[in-house]
Amino acid sequence: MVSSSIDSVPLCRTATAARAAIIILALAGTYFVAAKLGLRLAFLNASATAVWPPTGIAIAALLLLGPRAWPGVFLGAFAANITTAGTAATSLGIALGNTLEGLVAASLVMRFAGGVRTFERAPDLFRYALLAAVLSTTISATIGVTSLALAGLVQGSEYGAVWFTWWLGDAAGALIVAPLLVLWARPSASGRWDRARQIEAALVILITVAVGNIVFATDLPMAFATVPILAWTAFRLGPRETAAVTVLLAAVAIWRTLQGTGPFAVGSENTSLLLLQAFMATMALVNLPLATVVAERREVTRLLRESEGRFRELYYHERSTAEILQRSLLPRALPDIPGVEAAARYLPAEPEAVGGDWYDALVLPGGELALAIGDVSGHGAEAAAVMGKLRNTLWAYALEGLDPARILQRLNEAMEPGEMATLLYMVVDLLSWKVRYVSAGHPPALLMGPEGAATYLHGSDLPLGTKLDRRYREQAADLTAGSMLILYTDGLIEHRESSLDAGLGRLEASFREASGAAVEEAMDDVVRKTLEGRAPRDDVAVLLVRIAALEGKRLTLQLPAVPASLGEIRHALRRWLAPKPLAEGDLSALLIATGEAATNTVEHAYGLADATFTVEATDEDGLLTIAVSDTGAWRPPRNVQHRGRGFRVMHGLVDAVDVQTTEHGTSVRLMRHIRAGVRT
Amino acid sequence: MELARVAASLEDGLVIARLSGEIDLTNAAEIADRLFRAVPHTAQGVVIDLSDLRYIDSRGVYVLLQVLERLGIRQQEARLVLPDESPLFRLFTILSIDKSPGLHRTVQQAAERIRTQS
Repeated sequence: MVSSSIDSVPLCRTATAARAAIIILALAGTYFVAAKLGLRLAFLNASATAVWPPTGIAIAALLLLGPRAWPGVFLGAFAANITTAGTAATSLGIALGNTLEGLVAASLVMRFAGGVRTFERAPDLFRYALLAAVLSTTISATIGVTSLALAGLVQGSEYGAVWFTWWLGDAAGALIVAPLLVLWARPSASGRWDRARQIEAALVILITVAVGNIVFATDLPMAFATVPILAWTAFRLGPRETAAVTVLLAAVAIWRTLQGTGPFAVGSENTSLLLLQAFMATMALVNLPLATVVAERREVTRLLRESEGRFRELYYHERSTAEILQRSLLPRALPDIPGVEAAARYLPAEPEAVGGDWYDALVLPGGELALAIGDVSGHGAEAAAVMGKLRNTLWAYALEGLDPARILQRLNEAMEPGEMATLLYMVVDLLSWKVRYVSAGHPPALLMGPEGAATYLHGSDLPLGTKLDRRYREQAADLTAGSMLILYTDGLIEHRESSLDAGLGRLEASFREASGAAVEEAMDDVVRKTLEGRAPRDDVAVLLVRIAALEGKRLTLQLPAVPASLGEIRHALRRWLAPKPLAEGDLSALLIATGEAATNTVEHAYGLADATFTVEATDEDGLLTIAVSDTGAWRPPRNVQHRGRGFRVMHGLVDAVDVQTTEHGTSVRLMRHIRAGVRT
Repeated sequence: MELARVAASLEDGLVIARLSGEIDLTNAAEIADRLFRAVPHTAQGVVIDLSDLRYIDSRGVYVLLQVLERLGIRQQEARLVLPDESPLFRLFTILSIDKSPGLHRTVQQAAERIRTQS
């Protein structure tokens, strides 16, 4: 850091140089004070002490400030030694050793042990212990003790013992003091402490001082009692706190041991301090890596949780988008046709909420009921999008009047590479009771007659998107009044443990059992029994219709006052009149007369939203009455000329026309005798 | 299926337009438009065959007559064809078109009539 700022912009050179000098002087001062403190505990030799925090300071400073801060170390060491013992020469030698020790340690750590982050990962920390604390410290010990020996201040016989004291003091300083300085100089990884953590930290400090004062003030070998405090700090608080508690404990221990108490107060003061320092260094060596591992794990857990949260959010977003898309692609309501009951279900597969299954039902302009069910391969928003394309294209062609087979060919052409879908499209003519259908690889619809005979409507061509066979063939079947049809996707009949045939068999059996019930109830029964109560593996779409004949004495239709209702009226009347003995000309006459009355009503409503009208037809012993009634107190009719022509046609086509206008609306009653004997 | 269809073909300068299906308020204007556009300027005239028509009401007939008028302005002869046995014939009787010179019983009659006139 200093190195880079010293070499920065020339204009600032003086300012940065001054700053660098201040930093170096501050480092020298700190080093000096710590060294003087350590040298006060030099018992074996005036220059060799078992407690040497300056090594930690030097390594920390050179790691944090860069190698260019070395003069601070050198000046501090020289000043401390020259003012304590020995000569200028020995002080120079010792200062040289101390500086070299720090520089070698810092460069080795920079290169092999993670640099300033060396105390943040356990493997780096072990490398630091070996390179900085064990190896580099031999430089200072060797140069320092040799300088003293050359000056005659250490006897040859003492060399080994002094060297060992020196080395151990430096190593302990490197292991105990350097982590504290480096960790606290770096930004904290754990963020701001909340109140509970502050209280816990205060508690740890109190307990450390208390336990330290008990353990190191009694002569019983109770050093083990310090283990839980450091373990607690390592597990609960973190590496910085562990380093701080280690230093705090070491300070208490040294003070008490010097007073001659505690488990390490054995023999000479130097031996006691050596033992104590070895113990504290070992504690640091065990607990610091522990703290970093715990902190790392905590950080990893946090990151995992964070990314899990992000993925979960993404997943739900995608899921709900697809769900909305799919829901919007299913019809909100099934068509309301007299005599036709319909029910539909869509069951998503769990956990994937969205598949590509869909169904739809529509009345074609000619009055036929069109049913469609399909299964787009794939899941999620993509499948739902393909489904939307198929649905819209299908209805566009169907409303244009294309034949079912032609429509499927066009849909096949609309498939993009990679898209695949099965589809069953069926057109039911409610007048002729004929069913026409085309299947693109879709499971067969099941048809059940009113007496319970069930038949699968087989005959299928290749799925859409295969590009292999573009020919789709129309199949036909006959319905009878009261028949039920069920269209479904394969999710209903697929089962992990049984064959497809077994699924088809289950569907047939449950469909037959449900034949008597109303469609909604029948639908629930069929789905439940076919799935045997299981959640579906794949999503399921089911469409069920029952088609009854329009018979009896009365037919009532309630319709919106829009032009499209005119065709619905004709279609329903044709179905209702079909069993009656009516010549073709008479049928047309009734339909035209009713059409004239209804056209007047629809035009009279002026496209008013929610305007409705009713058509009620009755048959009393051959006297047919068709009443067209509006309910609106609408504005007076325009188009008087057309209305007049309409009434002329009505009068010409039926036996009697009766118009009643009240404040509740207008009712036109058309009457016609249809039995030879009654007809006038 | 579509409510009504117009199948037009050109035979010796004459358009034969066959209507099928049903004509009511929803599609009368569109059918009229399609009919009108099925007759090119170069054609002598058009025979509009209603034999296969399943349903038409007074509004539909009125719109057909408008087509005839529009073509007349273009100096093109237009004739309707409806056989006696058609269930729709009564409507034409009530609207007093049955006796009109514009209504024929067969396509052949109508076509001949147009050709001899011009």
